[in-house]
Amino acid sequence: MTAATVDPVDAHVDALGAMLRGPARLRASMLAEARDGLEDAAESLCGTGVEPREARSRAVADFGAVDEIAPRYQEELAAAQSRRTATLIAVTFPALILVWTLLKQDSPGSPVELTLLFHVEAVTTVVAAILALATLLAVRRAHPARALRAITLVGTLAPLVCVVTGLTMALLGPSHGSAHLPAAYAATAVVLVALIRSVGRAHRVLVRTRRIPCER
Amino acid sequence: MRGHLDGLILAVLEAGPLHGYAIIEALQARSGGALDLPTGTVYPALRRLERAGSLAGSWSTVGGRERRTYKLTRAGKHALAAQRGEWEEFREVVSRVLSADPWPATG
Repeated sequence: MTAATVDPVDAHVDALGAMLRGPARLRASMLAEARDGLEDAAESLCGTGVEPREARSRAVADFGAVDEIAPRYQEELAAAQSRRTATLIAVTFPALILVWTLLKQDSPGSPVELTLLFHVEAVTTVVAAILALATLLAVRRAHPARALRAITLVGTLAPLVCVVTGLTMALLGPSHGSAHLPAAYAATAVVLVALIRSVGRAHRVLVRTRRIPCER
Repeated sequence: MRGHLDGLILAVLEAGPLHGYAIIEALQARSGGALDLPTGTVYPALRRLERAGSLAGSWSTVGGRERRTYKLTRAGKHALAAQRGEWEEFREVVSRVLSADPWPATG
């Protein structure tokens, strides 16, 4: 395709899209809105007698350079990703600790090391869930990159602690474990996989948000 | 001007819901064309105001095309009133300082 056949509006929206990382639905919605706005602007210019192609070029110029605009869009994607990862942590961690508490009541008389490790895991989970809820409340007003950095850190450290304590408990665990143990391990594994994927995404969005910082 | 964009957007939405480009046109019309900011900064500002709870946005068909329309929420009305108050205060302070009146004599 030669430069003469590339539509300025298409090229601008594509260039903006190439800069942005984050939740697909919001990204698509924001790009659709940008395209609509450019189409409206071009139409409006055509109405004043400007030649159609010139109108499209001028609409793009009025929109602003991609380098200047993309950071503002990226901030919204960072906020949305923070909300997603924080919601996952706030919902799944309390559920997990509930499952493990019920299991522990199933097998009384555990060794003291096991009880201690269980408490470490419980406290980590509760703290992570509280921090996730705080992020959800703060993301309305907070600087999105900061909220995303905080929740990425929580989402990285808390599962690490849970995996290490969980594996140690499994090694120390009594041979007469509850019959529900395999189900609890399966549920924990599902949650951890979902969490690792979400935190991985959050990390990628954070890297992009930091690469194109928004000037205030 | 960038720092006041939020208040300006809330003000043009006070009369009723508008879609993105109509908001830009209203900003330009109400400023008599003096407001010359890249139109691409308005759309993410709308999302930011929506995230803050000041606006509610939804897709709907306007003029045969899918458009995202925004309306002021109750929190947005409060935010607008607060911005107006702050602006009045700021304007008064600046005009007092800039005014040609001599300083009141002291002592």
